[in-house]
Amino acid sequence: MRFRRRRPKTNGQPQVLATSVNPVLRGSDSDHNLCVRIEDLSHHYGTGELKKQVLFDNNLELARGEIVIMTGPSGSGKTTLLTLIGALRTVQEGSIQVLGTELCGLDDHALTEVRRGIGFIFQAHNLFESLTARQNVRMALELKSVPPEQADARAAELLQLLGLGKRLEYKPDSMSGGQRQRVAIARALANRPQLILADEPTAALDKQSGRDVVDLLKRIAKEELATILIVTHDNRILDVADRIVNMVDGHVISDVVVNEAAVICEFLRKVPLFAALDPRTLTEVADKMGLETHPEGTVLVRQGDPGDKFYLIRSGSAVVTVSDGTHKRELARIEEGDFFGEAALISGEPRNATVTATDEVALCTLDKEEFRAVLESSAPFKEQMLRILFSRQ
Amino acid sequence: MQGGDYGAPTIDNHAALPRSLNPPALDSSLMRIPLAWKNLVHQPRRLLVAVCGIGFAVVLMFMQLGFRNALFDSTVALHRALDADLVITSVARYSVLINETFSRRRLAQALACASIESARPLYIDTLQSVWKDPASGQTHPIRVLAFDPRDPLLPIDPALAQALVKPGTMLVDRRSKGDYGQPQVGDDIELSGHQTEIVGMFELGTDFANDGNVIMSTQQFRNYYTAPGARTDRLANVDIGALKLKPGASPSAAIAELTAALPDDVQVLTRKEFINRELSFWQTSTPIGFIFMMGTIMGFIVGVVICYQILYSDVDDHMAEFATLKAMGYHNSYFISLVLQESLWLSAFGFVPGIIVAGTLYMLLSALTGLLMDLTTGRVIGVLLLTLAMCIVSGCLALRRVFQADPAELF
Repeated sequence: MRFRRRRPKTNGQPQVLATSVNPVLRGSDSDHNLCVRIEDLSHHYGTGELKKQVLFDNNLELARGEIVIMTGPSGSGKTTLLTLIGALRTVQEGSIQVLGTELCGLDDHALTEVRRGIGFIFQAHNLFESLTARQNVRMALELKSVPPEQADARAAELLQLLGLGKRLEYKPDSMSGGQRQRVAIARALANRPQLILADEPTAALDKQSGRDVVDLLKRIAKEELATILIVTHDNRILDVADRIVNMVDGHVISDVVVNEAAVICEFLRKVPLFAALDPRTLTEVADKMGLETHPEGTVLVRQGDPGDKFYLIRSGSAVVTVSDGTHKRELARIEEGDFFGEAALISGEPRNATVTATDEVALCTLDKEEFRAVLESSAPFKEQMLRILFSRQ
Repeated sequence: MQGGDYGAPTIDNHAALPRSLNPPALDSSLMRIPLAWKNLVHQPRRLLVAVCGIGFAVVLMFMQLGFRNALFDSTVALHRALDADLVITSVARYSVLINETFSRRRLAQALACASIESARPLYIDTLQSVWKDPASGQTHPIRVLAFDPRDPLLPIDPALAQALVKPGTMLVDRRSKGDYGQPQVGDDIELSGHQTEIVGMFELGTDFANDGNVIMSTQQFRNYYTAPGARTDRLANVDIGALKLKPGASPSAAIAELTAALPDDVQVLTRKEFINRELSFWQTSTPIGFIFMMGTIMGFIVGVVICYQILYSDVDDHMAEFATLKAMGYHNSYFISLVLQESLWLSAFGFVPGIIVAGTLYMLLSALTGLLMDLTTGRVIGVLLLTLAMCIVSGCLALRRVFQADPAELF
């Protein structure tokens, strides 16, 4: 029963519901924004007669700085998927790239090396009872041959960050469940992993401790730009997710972007122009962007108006027209992934064309000041933007 | 309208991320958290049990080796006490126990050699000598040693040696077993049918074949042990010939000279060879050495089992933590060194009380039985090595459990 194959609705492909990205745009995705890329991943347990397939041709991508929550009934294969991503199992079929390393075909020793770049948070804290909180955290730092004084300082800094500044020299048996889990998190974060895998991190905690732990993970994801994959059944923490992945019977059946900024971020990644941005700036831009929707026929930008915003079409289409006072001339038709409004912001002159929605459009917008800030922050981005601007004139 | 034709410049994410902790090329392994030690002392009660168990195994090994060594030491006590540079025995006498003698003429022939200063006979009787305990009237065999009291072959008080010249006298080994009663100087004892007066005591010790020793003059030995009506007297057949070299003479040259001069019914050995041959006889030709070696091995196995039990339960208690360390990226080599460190600590913890108890028992047993129980440096090092081996073996066994820790099962 557990591993009965059900005909997947999506034919094994991840179905991106909320963003409904244009397939043409998908290909332009740039790898440096990706933390994990899974392609056609299948997995079996047992051999011969007892061989059972638990994962079926799964595809999944986790971007940098993203918090992804994976849900699904027990036996759906999500734990297997988590252990495969965590380089804790040998990849049998398909491909997993973690932080740029292909895991398929790696031996035990190489997998262990990959794991050094991953932070693991387990349901149980798994701390050494014989070591203090600080020493438990140092166990992670010793993997990197950090000198003892530095390691001590880093451990103390992390524990302070987690509100355990007064518990540095306490052993696990004199701490509460929440405190122990926070020590375990500090240990997982000690080496600044770019990928954090958490299995039911709140299961053993009360409501408030659970909330604190999740908020903390969210902060880490933003500050350290770490990707966090959480497997959980805890509905109370779904709100931290940028994306929710649902698994049933060995298939990823839905992959939904739930956070507005994450939706934009996801979208920006598909736009070649923004692919030039480093992941941190990309996330910041997405955070600052607003979402607008307009019905068909709305004038989005009017020629002659002062420029105040930069626009990116997320869905729908529009027409660009220029009027020389008497005649109206159509310049271009633009659609999803195209942008407009940048010229007025860069030159400071009034709008040089009118853009009208030809059906219902959803727009990502960026204020003038923020647009300029982004332009200044990234030379490659500015260069490309200017080049595009020049080519249009 | 799109900028897709322009190649996006590659951005090195790793360089772009802030990193305050760049791993320096510095070996800080000495300052690592001593996890092995911390895990051991975290549970003092378990550690105490471990120390008792391993200490017991150490004591067991010390005692077995002690008995074995006492046996060997006591069988060569006579050899060691003998005042000789070289020794002549019958070729058939592969152990002092074997009553094979050689003709006294061989001593005269040896003395004729240029490098030999003196050649003196030692007579031994273990077959006919019977000691009668005056109190119980019971008789017991005893070993009689005889030499010229004017030139003693064993280290005894010269005054006592002088007293032996008088007929009907003997010296008694103070360390003889209790079967002989409590003989005192001045007692008259019936020895092999002759009333004999004890004129003094000496110390040699018992061994596994002899329960006591008596020393008398060669003259008296002839009177006591020449069979009635025999064609030759007992003194014509020497048990052991003790040779002294002239000052500056080389033992090997002397042996070569003697071997050439003497017929092949005798053999010439240095005193060291004489001792080693006796030891190798006991070690290889009797089960006694083997029995005590078995005892030692038993102690070793008991120690392995106890140590394994402790290490295994310690590993077993920490399976989840070890699996977590594996998930974090610790290689198997870390766990090997961790468990081996624990086993080395355990062997050190067990050895110290073990040697204290064993030392005390050695003194007690030596006083009670008369066996030579020596705790020499070599033997202490030997047992220490056995203890280390014991703990390392059990560590290796416990390691199999560590390797079973599977981080994939933590999720």
